[in-house]
Amino acid sequence: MTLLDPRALEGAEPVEAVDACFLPQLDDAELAALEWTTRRVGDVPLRGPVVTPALVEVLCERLLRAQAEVLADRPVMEVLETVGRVVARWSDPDLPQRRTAEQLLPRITGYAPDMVRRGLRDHLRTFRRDRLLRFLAQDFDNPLVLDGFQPNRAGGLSRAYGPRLTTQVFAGNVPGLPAWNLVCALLVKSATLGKSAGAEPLFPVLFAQTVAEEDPGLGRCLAVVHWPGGAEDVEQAAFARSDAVTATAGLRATESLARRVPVGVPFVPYGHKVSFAVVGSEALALTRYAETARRVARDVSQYDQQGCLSPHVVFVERGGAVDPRAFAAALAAEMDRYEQARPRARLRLEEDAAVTAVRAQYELRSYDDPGVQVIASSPGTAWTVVVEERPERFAPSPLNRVVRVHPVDALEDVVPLLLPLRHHLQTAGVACAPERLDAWASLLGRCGVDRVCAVGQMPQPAAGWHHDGRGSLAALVRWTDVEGAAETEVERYDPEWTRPSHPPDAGGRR
Amino acid sequence: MNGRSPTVPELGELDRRLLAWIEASAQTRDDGGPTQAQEAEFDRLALDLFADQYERNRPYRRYCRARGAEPGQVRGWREIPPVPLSAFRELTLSCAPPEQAAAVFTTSGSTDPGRRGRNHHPHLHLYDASLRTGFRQWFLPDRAQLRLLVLNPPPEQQPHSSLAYFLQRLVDSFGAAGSGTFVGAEGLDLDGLLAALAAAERDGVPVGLLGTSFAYVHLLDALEAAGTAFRLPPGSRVLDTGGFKGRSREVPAEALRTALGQRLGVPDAWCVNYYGMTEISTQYYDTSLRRAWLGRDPAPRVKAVPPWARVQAVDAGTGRPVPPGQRGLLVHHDLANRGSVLAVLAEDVGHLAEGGPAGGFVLLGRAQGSAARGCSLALDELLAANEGGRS
Repeated sequence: MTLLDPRALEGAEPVEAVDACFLPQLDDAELAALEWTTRRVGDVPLRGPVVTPALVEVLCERLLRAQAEVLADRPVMEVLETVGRVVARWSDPDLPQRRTAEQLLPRITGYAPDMVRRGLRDHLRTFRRDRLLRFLAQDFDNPLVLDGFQPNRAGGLSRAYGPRLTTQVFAGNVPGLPAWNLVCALLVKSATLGKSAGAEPLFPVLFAQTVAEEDPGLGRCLAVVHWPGGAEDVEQAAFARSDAVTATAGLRATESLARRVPVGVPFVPYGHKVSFAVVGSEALALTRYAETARRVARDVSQYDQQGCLSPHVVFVERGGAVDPRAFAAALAAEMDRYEQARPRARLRLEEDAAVTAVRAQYELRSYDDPGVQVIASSPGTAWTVVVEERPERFAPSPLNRVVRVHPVDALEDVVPLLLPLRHHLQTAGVACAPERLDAWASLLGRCGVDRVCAVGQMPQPAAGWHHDGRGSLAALVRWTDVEGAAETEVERYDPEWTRPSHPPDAGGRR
Repeated sequence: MNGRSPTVPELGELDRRLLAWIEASAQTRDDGGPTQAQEAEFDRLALDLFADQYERNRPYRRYCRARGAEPGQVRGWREIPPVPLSAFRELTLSCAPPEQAAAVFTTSGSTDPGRRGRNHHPHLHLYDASLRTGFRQWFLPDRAQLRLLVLNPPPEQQPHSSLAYFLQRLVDSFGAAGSGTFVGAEGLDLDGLLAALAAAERDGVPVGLLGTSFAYVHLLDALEAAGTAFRLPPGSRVLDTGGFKGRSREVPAEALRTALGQRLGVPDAWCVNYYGMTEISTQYYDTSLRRAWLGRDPAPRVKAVPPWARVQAVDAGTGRPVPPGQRGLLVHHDLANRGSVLAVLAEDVGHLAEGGPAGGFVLLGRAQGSAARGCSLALDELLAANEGGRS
């Protein structure tokens, strides 16, 4: 008996198996000697080698060698220029890798083609040459610390060393995300052993290909393969040879990794974060509220809420020209409009069931609670807006375009709902009068939010954002400081002063 | 509750018709599935029960109205709207004043008592008839009584557990001499159970073990640690239910049956799993034992739907039935679920066996909500974080 996957029913043309790995370190004979398997993701067959500890050892050894040869001593600005040229290639709609991504990623992920196309374009713009300069400037007062010792504020010298090799566990929820990890590692002169995600393993491979086309040397500093998460022997082999490990993963996978990364090796986890929006009364003016609703609808709908940047909840201030209920209705209308233009991905049964369950739960509550209302697409689960006047807590969305609207009297009312989640909060999209922005940002920051942006821009963080509250680059480097006193003291040992013709105590007296 | 059938005022007319239908189905049941006349009678009973529940169950009435489903307009059991499980948490779905209920069974899933599902039973006559008829048909077709060894706490310890009540009623109704419960306040009474198994083996008296799946894992682990195995006499059998819910390591059903064969000497087909839940009043048994007893091939393993219930698999997004073989959420129409709502949308995934509802169904497990993709947070993970933040 065949159990049908709904996505297998889509009528797209079958495609030939695509190689979803990037291994410039291996020659043809070595590649042929590997055991290969083909996995179907969505309706796309993806081919890759079976990853063993032995393969990882070989890859790490060659990645380390490449890093020493072509990356360790390359000036940071040269690396930046190269990455900038790679990203510029992706702005060309005819770039073969971009065309492959636009053709296959919708079929792999189920996201609407238009959403993938725009999403990739907007995301990659974050890494244009001018924005890369911002990345560096955000984390380093003087980016030349990556090339050599530079004066520091304490009166000495400092130099930042990136990892020689970083094992990076990539996310698969939002296409394009691994570009962030790959670019950050290159900027601090680290090679990357990338573990691609089961749900979307192709993008990092395509991106790495363009790096190699632009600069084959840099390409040899990147390897991308897929292995099942939690394969302890493989990961042990990788971690033992890495100077850092990053992971964009769920809570359990992150905990598991954190236990296994050797002590002393920096572990930089990204993920398991939630975001939300706050709409002030000023944004509910008769001339503004529809546009505000459209922006919020876009934030919710983009990538079907799968990203950590997507809002789960919208807090709407009372006292505006339209009340929160009317705003919720406008939001629902805009969610519907977005669905017409960029339909949500088809869901697995379990995902559909989760949306249905939340709808039912709130519908039943609305019988006895006039403060609860469900506005939803029908038939089907394309989008759902739930109004809840008195939430017990900040309840996470089951994702896939389900958003709760909570009316509030003031931002202060939001604080008790945010505090229990303070370790998990990420982006707050805000819409308010200019004079309130600073006060709101202060309050939100105190609650744990690490990014405040305008509604409508939640899915596109600006270059240089302290990703999840840390420096994207600073989190990867270690520092070596030369103390100012050492500089002075070594003068003692200047051979000029230690020659017998001088008195023994003359050093330093200049 | 003390395990005795509660005394209630005389049953109403509809209750008597339902009771007669359930009890008669033991005699009239054909392993080939319902006849046309039986299907028509099921429809009549379902619509009458729906009308009664619509009338007396206010929140359910509201739920039906929102879907344009009213008695008189609903023409067949398939059109009776199923309530999701959350309705048993959010609402009091009782057809009679809740305080007069003979039993209120609650789910065990949540730590927050206010968020537990509750199923109200004004009386348990239909519940008892359903459990007896099903058990006899699928677990005890060959004899009137059997020595039953229960690996689950008694109702005194768990007064609101439908499982504890269910198992105690089975012992009351079908338990031969030597039947007993082997879980107390201190947990599994392993010594007592081993003694009972040894006695059964020595005396050649077949036994039936009844319990949750994870209870057997604990038993099997203990037997393995002690290096002990039994060859229980022919006619011995095992009934298990439920998943593992973090109470023991997860063991696939096949592996559990293999281990039960090795450690207890119970043949594969005589290891029967049943599926039931607090929100309904019927149990669905594997057909393997009955088929083996009838001399038929016990495979494939499917769950039987008794004549007083219907099971559908539906699309989770639209609620529309999906064809046999295709995964869907399970919907129950259970005539024994007298006190609340006869139609229930479960959170379990399964598919109908080929041959339609009469062919039974295959239970695949719980719908686990949306799995976290990448850095988006899984629902349960965040809920756990949330609870942690509150404490």
